[in-house]
Amino acid sequence: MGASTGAVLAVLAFAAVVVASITRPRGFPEWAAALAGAGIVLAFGLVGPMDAARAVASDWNVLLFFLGMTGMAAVAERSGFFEQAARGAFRVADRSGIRLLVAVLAIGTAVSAVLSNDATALVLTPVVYTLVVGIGLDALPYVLACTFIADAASLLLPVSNPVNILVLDGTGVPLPNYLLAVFPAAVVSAGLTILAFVWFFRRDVPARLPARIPVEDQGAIRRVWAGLGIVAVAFVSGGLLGVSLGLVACVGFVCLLVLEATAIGRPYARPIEGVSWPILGYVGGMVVLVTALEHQGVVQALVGQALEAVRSSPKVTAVVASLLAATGSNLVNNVPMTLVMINAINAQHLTGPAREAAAYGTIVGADLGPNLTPVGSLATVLWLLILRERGLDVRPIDYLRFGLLTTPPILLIATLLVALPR
Amino acid sequence: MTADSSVRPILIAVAGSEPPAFWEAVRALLPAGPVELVHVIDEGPRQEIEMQFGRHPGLPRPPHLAEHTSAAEQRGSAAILAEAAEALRARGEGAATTTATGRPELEIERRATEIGAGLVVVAARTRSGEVPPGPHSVGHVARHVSDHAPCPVLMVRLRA
Repeated sequence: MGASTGAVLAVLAFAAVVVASITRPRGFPEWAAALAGAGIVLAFGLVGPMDAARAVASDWNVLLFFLGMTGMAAVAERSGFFEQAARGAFRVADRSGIRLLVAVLAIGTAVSAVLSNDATALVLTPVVYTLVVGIGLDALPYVLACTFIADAASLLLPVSNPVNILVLDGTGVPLPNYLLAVFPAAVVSAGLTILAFVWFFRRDVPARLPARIPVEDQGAIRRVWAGLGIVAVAFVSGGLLGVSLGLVACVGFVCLLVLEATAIGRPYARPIEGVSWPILGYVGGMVVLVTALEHQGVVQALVGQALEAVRSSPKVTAVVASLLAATGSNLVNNVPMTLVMINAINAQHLTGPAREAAAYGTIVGADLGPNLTPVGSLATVLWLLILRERGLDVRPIDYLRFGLLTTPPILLIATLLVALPR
Repeated sequence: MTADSSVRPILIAVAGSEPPAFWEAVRALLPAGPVELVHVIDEGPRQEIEMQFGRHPGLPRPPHLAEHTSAAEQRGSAAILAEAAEALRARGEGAATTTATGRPELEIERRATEIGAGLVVVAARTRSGEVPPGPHSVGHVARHVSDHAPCPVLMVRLRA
């Protein structure tokens, strides 16, 4: 097979999987689409079986992390963790609509930092929605608050976003270096997002909340915050000691199951309920697809050349990596784009400061970029089409306007904060 | 208002954040006639939640998500309609109540057509009550209802 034919086939397979993952025709699951795409590139010889197996095996840490983290989130959800955290926001708000907004943003930040942006976006958001709409409030500002802060706060720790672990594992950047380089940018991006959100939506929340606010269990709230603190310390100290974060997440999951069994007097009947096995198929399949892209020279053509051109300047490398990762994350989702970036960094044999700069730029772009969702972004356009097809007419203006106005400057500031010290 | 509107039902759209001044104005201005209160559960936030599942492929939904959100929506709507009905009771008459789900402006228009409303009452802006004069003083729901309702519209605007 000619080189260009192989490249075209690899790109087509990758694009087909991305479209299928987003549109889910006839409910076809994303993990099946990814595995089917992997099968196609293997069948056409675009990547060898041993290379594919090695690539998947090298990401064992993030795969374990997904298992452990989704398990922890499931136990936390069952125990009412997220609900008590959200109810605590109502108490802190003291019947002020704006203070409730700030409290939701703060809780979203804490949950993202420790339990990952996925937990905030997929578990906390529906809980906040249920509580807010249950007292007869317009829930949209509070739902948007959760979904925006989920990504904006996902730079804080490596575990705050699975792509952080992908990048750290794929590039070998040590955890202490990550914390020193990225944490300041993380604090600034989360803080600016909170300020911008409150300012932008200040007229869209009631001055006074109705009297029928949800009551919280104060003891449970204290346990929530203690639990979050323990998990945060476990992840950071485990990472600093060189323990795999995936292993820490799995141990954390087991510990929570034991605590749950103690609390309810018996082991939970379905302990692995909520553990996301499909994500293993999705990530594994995407790893094979991106490896095929790299073998066919597509990664080099799309991304590698750009990184090569700037490798002599770590500052510029960080900025270019951030822009590439942000753009690609909006087009095809941040997990596959991150895999492309990691492949490019390794394929170009970036070392030393340039390697770290590329890693940090990738993390910033892949974490914050998805909040952009400009008109024309493939994922957004496809979602709008799907929802219209289902008879649900979407009003993207709130999300798009806030995302367009705030994400570029926050992304730029965070990128400069990781780039300038290089 | 025409003479016919006094025998055609009056549709009052409520969003849950109407202050007491709104109901004082409504009670003072409404003609005689049967009243229906309508609250629309805005599907926008649920669509945003659905979009998040699309942006995080391969990850599970919390169990019973659909039932919990639906129950909360119905609970919230019932509370809003109960408060609104209580506010109208000072007029000395009851009101029918309806919950709809969808885009508020479209559902209000649809319901007004369905019941042959003679008048639709809507707050100028529902999210934050009082807003200074300017481009934000009338929300998109009130503007759409004002433009497309099949009958006259009474828009209640509270000044800052």
